[in-house]
Amino acid sequence: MEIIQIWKTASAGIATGKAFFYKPVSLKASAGLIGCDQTGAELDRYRRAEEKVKKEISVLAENSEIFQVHLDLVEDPALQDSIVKKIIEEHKNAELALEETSAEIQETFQSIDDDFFRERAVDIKDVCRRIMLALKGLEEDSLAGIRGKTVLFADQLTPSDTANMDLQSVTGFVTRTGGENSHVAIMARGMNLPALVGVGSAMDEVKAGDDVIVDALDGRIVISPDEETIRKYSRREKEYRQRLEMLKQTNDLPPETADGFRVRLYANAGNLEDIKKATAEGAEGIGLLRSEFLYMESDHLPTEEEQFVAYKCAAELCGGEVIIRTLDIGGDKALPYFQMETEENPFLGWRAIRILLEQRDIFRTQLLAILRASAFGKISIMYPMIISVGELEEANAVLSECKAELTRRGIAFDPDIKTGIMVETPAAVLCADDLAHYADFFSIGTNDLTQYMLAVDRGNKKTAQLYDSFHPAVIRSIRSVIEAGHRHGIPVGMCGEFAGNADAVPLLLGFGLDEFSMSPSRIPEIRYLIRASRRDEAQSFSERVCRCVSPKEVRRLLKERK
Amino acid sequence: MVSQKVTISNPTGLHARPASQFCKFLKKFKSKVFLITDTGKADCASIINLLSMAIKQGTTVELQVSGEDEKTALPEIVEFLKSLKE
Repeated sequence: MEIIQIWKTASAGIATGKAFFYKPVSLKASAGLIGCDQTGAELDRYRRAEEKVKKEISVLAENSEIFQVHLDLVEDPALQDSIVKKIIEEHKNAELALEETSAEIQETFQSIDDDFFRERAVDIKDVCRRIMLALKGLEEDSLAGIRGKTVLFADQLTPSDTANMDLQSVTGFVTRTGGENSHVAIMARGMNLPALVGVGSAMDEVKAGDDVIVDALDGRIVISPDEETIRKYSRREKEYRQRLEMLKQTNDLPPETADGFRVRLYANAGNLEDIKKATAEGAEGIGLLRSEFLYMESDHLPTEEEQFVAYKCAAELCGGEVIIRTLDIGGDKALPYFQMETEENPFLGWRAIRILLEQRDIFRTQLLAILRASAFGKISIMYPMIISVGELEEANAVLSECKAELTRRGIAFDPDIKTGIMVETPAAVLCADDLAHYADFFSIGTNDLTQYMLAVDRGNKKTAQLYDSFHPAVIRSIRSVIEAGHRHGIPVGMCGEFAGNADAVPLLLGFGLDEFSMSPSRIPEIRYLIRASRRDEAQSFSERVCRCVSPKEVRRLLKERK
Repeated sequence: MVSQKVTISNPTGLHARPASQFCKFLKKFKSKVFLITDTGKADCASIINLLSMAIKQGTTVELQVSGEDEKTALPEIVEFLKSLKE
């Protein structure tokens, strides 16, 4: 038995079967040049092949947007012009004209410095191969002949290959090249077909006919597994399927406990792409939009207009509330075009709101953009790293100036836009009652809160094991912030990793957390756990946990409860 | 010929599906439409040309429209690009 670690998975699941190496038959153009009198006939031949391919793809395109794009590619004027020119002016036969054109276009795409766009070379190759088959009067049949449970290995697969697979036999596939964003990977996810892509030379360990298990949950290939491993994986596969089924049952149901305590399930987003993932997973809103992406991906401070377009787009993509955190740089995040001195203690240094309150132009530009976008959807503003009421008052004063400016400019915004703070410093925890007078909401940032509360740098290997959000100091802080918020009638959310931690669910429900915001992929499981809980039970349990004297004791209680 | 600059704002940029929708949308006009960036110029009738420009979110492009319906087409095309969601 041999196990190869891969890490990256393209489509989750576990596949077992015999390894089959797929090598599509090479389709070289039969060389040639043609006579002047033959160009018309050669063009006709190309048109007939093109028509045949269009018909084939049209059938596939009925249920697939990927093949709709393939249909555009067959009819593309740039492709056609090049082929027609090669036939008429260079007297090449249709196959040669197609082969050269296909190679030229693929080369252009392969030189693009962006995975998303570079992957489209495969689509061009796929379409041109179909036309080549039609010109030669051949059918693609090497995949149709597979019998028995099989795991497919290939250097590269095209969307057509994937559509040709007989899912009765093919249980999953592995490719040497390609990325998670390739159309093939997208199709595999749509078909629930386990897949690993871009595994490189790891594939060379496998020989045709080997018994293999492809673990596309943890990213492993197991070659010639022993009896025990086979049993283990068959159990895991069953559990995985049951789990999918289980989570599917609650997918469309509100995040509410069995005794009717309703919370809001939000997602954290680091860019606009994440917002799409979040809505796909059923997030009701965005509890933390890290605005840094706009600054990091740019070579200059993003202008008001650039930011406005992005925030407006975020609100429209989401449909629900979007909480935008104002720029949080410093600490471990720097901008290439913004000079900051090297500090001895960056996490205790000039970062987040401390920078914005000094660099008023940067702050005002961002607030103006957020306000303008608030006319197009429900947007809230969140200030990071607050330690005192003074900072919050000052930030809100800048916001009022920005509102006045927009009114002068005659530009619409939401006058009742909510402003809240991230609670992530011990100071904010202890002053939560004061801060609640000036904030419309709290959002607990457990990652930094844990680090500051315990005075532990989690990047430091020697202290990392002390970093623990289940430490009684962190748990009691969370409780006291939620209670303070509720005493003053403001909602309290959480946007740190703790909100997506399955073990933390009973604690947070018990404390009465109003909004859980987490990475999109955590939503289905947390929703399920919330619906399987009772608020009254969670309350008495969380009180017991608060009396624990060590992280170890907290974990013991959590374990006993399961 | 008329022209206007527009910033591509949808998250995936002029990627496969948005580009495909854009090409189809342009078929209703008689004018020829070109898209110009710092790196080159693409005939928008060709999805291959459009995709090979790898236009990402945040890129500002210049639209050039020429033909008998150019005056009515340009604002509609700008609006279409601005309304891309994906």
